[in-house]
Amino acid sequence: MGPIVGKVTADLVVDGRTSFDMTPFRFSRFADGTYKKPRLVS
Amino acid sequence: MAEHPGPPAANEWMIPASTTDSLPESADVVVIGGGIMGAASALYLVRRGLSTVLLEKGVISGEQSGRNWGWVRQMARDLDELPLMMESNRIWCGAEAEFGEDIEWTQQGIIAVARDPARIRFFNEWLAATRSTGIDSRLLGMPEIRAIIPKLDGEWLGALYTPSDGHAEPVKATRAFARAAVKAGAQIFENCAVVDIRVANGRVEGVDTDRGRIAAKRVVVAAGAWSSLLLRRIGVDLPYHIIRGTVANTRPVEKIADPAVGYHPIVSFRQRRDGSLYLAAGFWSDYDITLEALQHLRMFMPNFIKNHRILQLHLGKPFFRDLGRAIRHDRSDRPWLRDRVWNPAPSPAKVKSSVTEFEKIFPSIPIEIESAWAGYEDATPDAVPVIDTIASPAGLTWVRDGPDRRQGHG
Repeated sequence: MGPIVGKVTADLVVDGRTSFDMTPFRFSRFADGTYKKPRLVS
Repeated sequence: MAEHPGPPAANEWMIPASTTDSLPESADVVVIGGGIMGAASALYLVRRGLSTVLLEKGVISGEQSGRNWGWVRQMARDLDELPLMMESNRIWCGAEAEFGEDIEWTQQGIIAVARDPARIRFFNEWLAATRSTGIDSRLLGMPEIRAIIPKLDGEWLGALYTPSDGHAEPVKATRAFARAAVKAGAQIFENCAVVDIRVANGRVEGVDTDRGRIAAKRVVVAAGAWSSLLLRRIGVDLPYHIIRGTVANTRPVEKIADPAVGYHPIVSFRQRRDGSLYLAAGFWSDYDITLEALQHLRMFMPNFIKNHRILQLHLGKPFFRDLGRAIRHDRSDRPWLRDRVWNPAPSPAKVKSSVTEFEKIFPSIPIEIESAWAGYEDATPDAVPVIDTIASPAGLTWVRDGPDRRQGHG
């Protein structure tokens, strides 16, 4: 994912937002308990 | 660094001059970490007009960004990650032309073959869930598998195939982004370790390094497996544990397949232009338990229990390093200042099993290992990336990949 993460990072730093939905990647998901539970790897 | 050679070129300075240049007093933004995410961040930040300094404690692409399989994979991604990965794929496709560098990019697809009905069910579920995205993944039957991988032995239930996926040479790719950042005006310093991120009144003020101080109102942390240790020093605490991935490089063999090939969770490989293979023991993972993982066992336990078949837990150096620091209450200990290029030992068992399993499914193709190496990734409880400008301290953006083991794809 490297290249797009760089682009998104620049958007976040410069504009404070990006066109992608970054909700799943929030740091706070661990504190508020909304992180995904693991799936069974088949 | 000398115990194991590591992957090709990963121990070499990319920018020799930067080891002696003096640091600037200030920058708009400091990026910590010279992996692919740090390099790409520096490139796009400087293109957005910010004065940008990237600091790497060792060498560019020296750790996980130069030690991975080199797959560029949209296929079977977590659904939340797929839009980002599809856009990333477009960047990868144009990278060689954009940067004027050979990164051994090949867009010949990725194919995941399966014998397990549960795996086929997963493929079908993923295809159904992603139908509206435009991704070109499709399920193949035996005749199509045989056409793509003629020497694959035995009968297979099916395969998930994504022609638009690709692979590249990790060290070359990361360094191409870093050099493009330099050309665009970023300053990159190798052999320059951040000692601490400076915070005052709830805001980032810059960084202290082992070569001096840089003032900056924005800091991007892209320090891979070291991020958590660095950030904890300023009160940003993320439960994590460490995955050790082993990769082996074979001597060149006859042409096997254009796509990268995965037989989950047993063995995976991609064939480079010279015919050699980058071979890995599929998704069998060595998990080096950290003290933090034990402290946050409630978060990690569900994954350990559900996927115990492919996770091998180890109490090794990372755990005892953490434990020693905790016992000593030692805030001065910064292990990243010692391990400038963290070069963990590859797992002989993983190398052996990858060779054995490869030769079971390709009995007509004997292989010989040229070298092997390992790299560390840190993993969150949900194995999903963190890409976020966090609430406190202000000015801090954290980017870290999430090794995608949750759905069984590396």
